[in-house]
Amino acid sequence: MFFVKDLHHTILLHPSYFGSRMHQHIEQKLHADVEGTCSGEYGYIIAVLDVIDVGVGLVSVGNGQAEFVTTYRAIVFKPFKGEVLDSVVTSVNKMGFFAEVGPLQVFVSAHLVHPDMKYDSAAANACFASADQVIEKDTHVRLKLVGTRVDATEIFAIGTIKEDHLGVID
Amino acid sequence: MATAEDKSVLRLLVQHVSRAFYDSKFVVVLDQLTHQDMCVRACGGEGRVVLTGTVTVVGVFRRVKDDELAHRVGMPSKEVQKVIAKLEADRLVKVHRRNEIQREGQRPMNKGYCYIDYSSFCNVVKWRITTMRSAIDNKLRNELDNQGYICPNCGKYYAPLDVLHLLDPSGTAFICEVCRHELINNENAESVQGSKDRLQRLMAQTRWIIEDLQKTDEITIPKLNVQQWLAEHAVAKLELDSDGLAIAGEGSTSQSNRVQIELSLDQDDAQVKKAREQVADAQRQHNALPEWHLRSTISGDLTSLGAATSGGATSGTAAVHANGSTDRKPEQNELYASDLDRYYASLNTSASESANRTPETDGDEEDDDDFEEIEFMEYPASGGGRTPASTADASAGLNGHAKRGREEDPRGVRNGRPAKQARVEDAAPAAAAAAAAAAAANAAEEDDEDDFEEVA
Repeated sequence: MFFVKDLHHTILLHPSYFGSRMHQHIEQKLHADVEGTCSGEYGYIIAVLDVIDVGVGLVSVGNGQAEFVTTYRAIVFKPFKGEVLDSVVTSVNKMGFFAEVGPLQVFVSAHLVHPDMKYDSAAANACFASADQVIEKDTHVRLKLVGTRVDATEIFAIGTIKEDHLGVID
Repeated sequence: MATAEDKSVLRLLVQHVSRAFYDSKFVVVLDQLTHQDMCVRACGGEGRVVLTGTVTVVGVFRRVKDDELAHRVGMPSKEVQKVIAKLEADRLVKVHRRNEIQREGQRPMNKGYCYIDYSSFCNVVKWRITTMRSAIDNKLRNELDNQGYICPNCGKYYAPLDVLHLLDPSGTAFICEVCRHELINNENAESVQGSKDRLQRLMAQTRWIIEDLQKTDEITIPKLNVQQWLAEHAVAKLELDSDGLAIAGEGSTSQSNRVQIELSLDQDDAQVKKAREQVADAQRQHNALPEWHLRSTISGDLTSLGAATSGGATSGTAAVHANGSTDRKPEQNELYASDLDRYYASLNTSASESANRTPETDGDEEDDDDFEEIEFMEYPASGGGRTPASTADASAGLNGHAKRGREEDPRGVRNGRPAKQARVEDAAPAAAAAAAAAAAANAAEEDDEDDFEEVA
């Protein structure tokens, strides 16, 4: 699920950037630092919307760098168990298939694919196929998350398409 | 309208459900409620007794005596209330509550009529069975989801969330991070097997109920209007059922019976006693001596025989009046008392004689006089025996007491007690004189040691 959230980030700025374009530098650095990162509490930080407050720079003793505690507003994406998401299939194997929801990797086990869909290794691209539907690479699939695991830099999820209204979307 | 066959199907359903999921207490109550229907049909006789008409009176308050269901199942009504409350919460039984006036002039009591509404009963059971199945089904599916992967070589287990980073570069298989073997599905996990087994067992065990439910689907169950039904049947049914089953453990009624029995026994006792007294009176009158035996026909005074009988009779009748049961003891007491009176009378005369003899002295000095008198009588020569200081004399005096005690016994009996009482009363003024005290001690030795201490 996506949220707009006010967050804080501490930036250390080298003295060489002190000057008239210092604020631009800080904003650039903020974007570079936080966008695409992941935390367990807020999920993925997708984009920084705006910088609310750059903060007062405090020069640290010893190395001359200035420390800015910036406050910014960002869009975050946090997957929840039970959430239904639209995804793109990235790879298919006999154990199931992998799909991407933006930055999130989702694995759908073969158990959680509808029993009608059988793994077909003989095809040109490995796929799960039923009479009228095929799941192969780059297919759009609507899935439901049944579990998530948050690592330091990544979130893994497993999903299912074995319920009503889930599966291939045209 | 439901036929007898339909009714038996519904009854069977209730019985299956109760036996499958409830304690024996609940089974008994539910059985009574289903049985009640048949009972109503049997006694009521009317064809229009509705199928759902298993109405049984249940007192909502414990005090309600005609708590019929409790009466029927032979449990304390409090316990039945509990059972009914549980069944009502489970929606298997419905309770219709209304205020009823039990007797004239009493406050209306809240009474409940509990019954099985078969249509809702069927729906409830259906819903329960479905929910149970879906719960086990869901669990099974979740366990399938979580069954994970296992390495066939080293036996290491991976949860589904752990395998995502084990994907081999070609993207076709998961590779064990320990031994580089390809992982396989962990299909033989015990929990998975257990779940499958559980579902099978549930299906097998609820087979009867499901079959019953399928049968009830074909029956159209008429709706029950409880209030109307009660208006028509409740009163009549109570009367009809009063001669119903034998009651086991019905505390209140048996107790009241017993109390009544005791009361009647008490009454009998009193009557029997009264009758016995009347007989005894008649006997007494019959046995009474004729007048001319009791009184002198010449002077009109009582003869010795008359005195004896009249004394006995008066005391006897007095005793009868005092308390119902009479025996010879009061008579004896009376005789004893008269003896005592005579004794005290003689005692008084003797006391007044002695007082006349020494009119100026009070009790204490009288004692001294006694002592001197005795001394004089025993040892006329030894005047020094009166000195209290010499121990030899004291012991001599003691001996003298003993002797005198023996010799003067009759007098001691007559005079000792009043003399002692007088001395004790006047002890305080006399205590000042040491010689007098010593003399008193000598005199009192005969009675006991305590008297000496009191004087000192």
